[in-house]
Amino acid sequence: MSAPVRFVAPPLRNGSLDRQLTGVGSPIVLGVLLLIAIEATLMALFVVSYFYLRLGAESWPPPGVALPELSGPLLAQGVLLLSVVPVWLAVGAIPRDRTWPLTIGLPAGITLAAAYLLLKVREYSGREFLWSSHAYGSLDWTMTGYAGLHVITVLLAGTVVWVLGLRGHFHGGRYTGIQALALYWAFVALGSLFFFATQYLSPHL
Amino acid sequence: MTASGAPVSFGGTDRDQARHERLSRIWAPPPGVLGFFTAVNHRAVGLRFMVTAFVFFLLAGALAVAMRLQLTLPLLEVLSAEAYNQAFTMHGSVMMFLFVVPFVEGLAIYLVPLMIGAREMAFPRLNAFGYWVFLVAGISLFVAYLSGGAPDSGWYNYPPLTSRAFRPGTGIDFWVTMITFLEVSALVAAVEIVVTILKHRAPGLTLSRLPIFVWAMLATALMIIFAMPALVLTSLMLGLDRWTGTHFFNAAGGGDPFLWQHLFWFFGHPDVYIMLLPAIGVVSMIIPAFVRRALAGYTLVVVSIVIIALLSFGVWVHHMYTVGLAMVGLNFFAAASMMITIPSAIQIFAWITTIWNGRMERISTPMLYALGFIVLFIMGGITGIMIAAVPFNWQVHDTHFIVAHFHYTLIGGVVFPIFAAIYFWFPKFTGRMLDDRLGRWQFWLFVIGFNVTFLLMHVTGLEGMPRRVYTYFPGLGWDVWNVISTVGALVMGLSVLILLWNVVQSWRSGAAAGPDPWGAESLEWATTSPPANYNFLDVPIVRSRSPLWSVGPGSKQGALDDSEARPPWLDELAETPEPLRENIVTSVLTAEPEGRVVLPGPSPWPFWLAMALSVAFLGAVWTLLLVPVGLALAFVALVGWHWPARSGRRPEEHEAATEEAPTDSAPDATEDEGER
Repeated sequence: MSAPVRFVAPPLRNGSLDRQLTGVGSPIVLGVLLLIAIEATLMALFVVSYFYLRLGAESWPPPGVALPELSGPLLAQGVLLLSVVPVWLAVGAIPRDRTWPLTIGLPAGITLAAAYLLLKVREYSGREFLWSSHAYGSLDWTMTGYAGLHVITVLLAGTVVWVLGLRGHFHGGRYTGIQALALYWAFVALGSLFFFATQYLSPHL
Repeated sequence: MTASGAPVSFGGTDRDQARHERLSRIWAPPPGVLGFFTAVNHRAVGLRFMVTAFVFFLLAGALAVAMRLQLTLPLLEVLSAEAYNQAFTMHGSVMMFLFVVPFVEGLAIYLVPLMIGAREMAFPRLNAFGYWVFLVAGISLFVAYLSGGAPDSGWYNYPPLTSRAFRPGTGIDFWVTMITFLEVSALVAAVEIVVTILKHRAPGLTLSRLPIFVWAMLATALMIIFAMPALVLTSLMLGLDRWTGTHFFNAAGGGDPFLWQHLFWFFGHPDVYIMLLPAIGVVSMIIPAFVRRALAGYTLVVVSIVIIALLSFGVWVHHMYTVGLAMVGLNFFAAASMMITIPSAIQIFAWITTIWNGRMERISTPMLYALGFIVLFIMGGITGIMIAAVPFNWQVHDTHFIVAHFHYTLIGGVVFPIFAAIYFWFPKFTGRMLDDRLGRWQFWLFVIGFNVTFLLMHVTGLEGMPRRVYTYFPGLGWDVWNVISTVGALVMGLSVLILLWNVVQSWRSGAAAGPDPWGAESLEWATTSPPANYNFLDVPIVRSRSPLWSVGPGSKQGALDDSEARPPWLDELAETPEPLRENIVTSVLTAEPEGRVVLPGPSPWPFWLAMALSVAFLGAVWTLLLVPVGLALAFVALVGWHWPARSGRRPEEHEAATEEAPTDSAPDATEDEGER
């Protein structure tokens, strides 16, 4: 057999190739978008399961369980949504080599996300039913647990990114890591809105 | 595994030789035992996936032979009822989850970068992580089986049978945790395959020139992304029902066992096509190579692949015809199921047309398997249309007719193409040919054994022989058929042993293959066999759908040696000033160069992360307290994974490679897979 074939044809583009790819041009960001697709499918199926079981139930919530209270959860949800803002401001500033929104903004976002978790712990410590009480309880506790686990993920990942930022890892030429974090953070906050609507609003309908 | 040490002649200049040596060093997998645990090269990982999956195939095949021996004659006691339950559960679960899907993933991990002209996949460490997860999950399932804690409720594990009340042991717990764990492996591989195909294609390899196998893998990976979360969710729910007393599937607590069936089959039916589409891709690559003609109806075949992928999400209820759902719904799902025959038929006619218009100079083993596939796939398809009809389905539900049908689609439709792929790409993997004479023997024994085993099951099934029952009474008219079926199974077993012998012998001392033994058209044949560590010396530039057939004097594809006409980035990628592992990044639709990325080198973290998560998943079987422990260890692994490397820790090349791309090189994907 002959030597391996070589193909070189006239270029499609001249000049050098950039190493700093950001946004959807970057494979990392595309990877995170696909991860979000996986998680969004899982969340959608959670919601479908919720309504499937509700459809088969005679009363929803089950007899003796009060309709969910709204003000506390609404506050928690607002806090979680707000936590995205400083992170996105940091993403907006970093291409212009401004790192201080990252240094200050990430701790702010992390604090807000932690506040959401505390509010949830407070809310659930007063729950009158457990996951093992009935299917309604199983869904309620599991969905909140699932959302909470994601907030913990964001919190931990945010802390790591923040420490890396303090060590000068990110600058105007390297920030896909922050973009990926911000995308995922936004997904966690917005995705939990669907859970909120399912768990807290839909029983009132 | 690689040709790093062998001097390679490129028919080129000293400069080429210098480049070859330099790139070989940069991309060399690390040596030694430690190196084994830190290697991330896509070809090493791909081969490991395939070899490991094949070992699981042999084990699950042995279980099948044991089941056939038990059914040879009425009232035999080769296996007890309990052992038989465990055998069919393990056989189904292992073939589906530990053989077919991981094998085709391994094939894709090995071949996709070569077919698209890339040096590596998008996220090499994620790749290695996926393999370790797969290995741990597979071994755990078998350790559980051998230690008496095997799952025994069938591969689809229906509650309430699988609830704690009816299955108190750890068998179902193992199934639930290991299958969920395995899905993590499949999901990360899927993300990896999609990103690699969309962002790392060689310049000029537009979507409309993509080899069909790559199209099939793109569709398959996207199906995995949208189907497997259903299995993850439903096994999570079953695990919680068993361990914490939730009521998702417990009717007494307001749950519903049908929820399991809906979620499981929402994954389960697409999973059939997750297995079948890569097989279609394999056959679509092999047939053109043997008939010297490009695939007829390329665009239609691609469209039919996409249509099958979409339709497969709308047919899951045809597994649930007998559970008592509304007739209107059943009609919808029957129609959707029958619709799948249209794109399938398009593909079959495309292959027949290609063969018809081609020039078949020889029929070697891969082509024999491809032809066998077409015949058996049609047979499986015909019974598929029959059981898509609700009344017929009610009649044959849970009989051996169904066993016959899905073995025609899964062995005829998937295992035949997998064997074809082994014969076809083995020369690329190893640099050596498989023995063709042994291959022909193996093929004919397999075809005969397969049909003798399963054709007759249509008859026993129609006569009412139920599946999943460990024995039967004499005088029901099934006796002779069962004896013959068992003989067929033994012939199939013998055939597989011949394949194994052929692989072992040829790997050691087969005939040298050369870069392109079949004279095929796609890019993987443009490099040495096995490929050098870096795959391609120059990033290929593609001008047609059959790049290797367009090369030659006077063609537009012809080699261009005038250095002035070379785009500067081509040399930059071949001669980076720093010793970095780099991949070109091109645009999604038209594959125009956009940039380049530095990829990470060898790393211990994928292995550690997989081990940490094993503590969480396996620990859940004993006590849920181990879950947070495992997740905490996983967090440590992830921080290590993303942390910029310190100098002096690794050899020069690897250090530089990792230093450049710490947070950016692995997606946060793993982080969240990890938390799950």
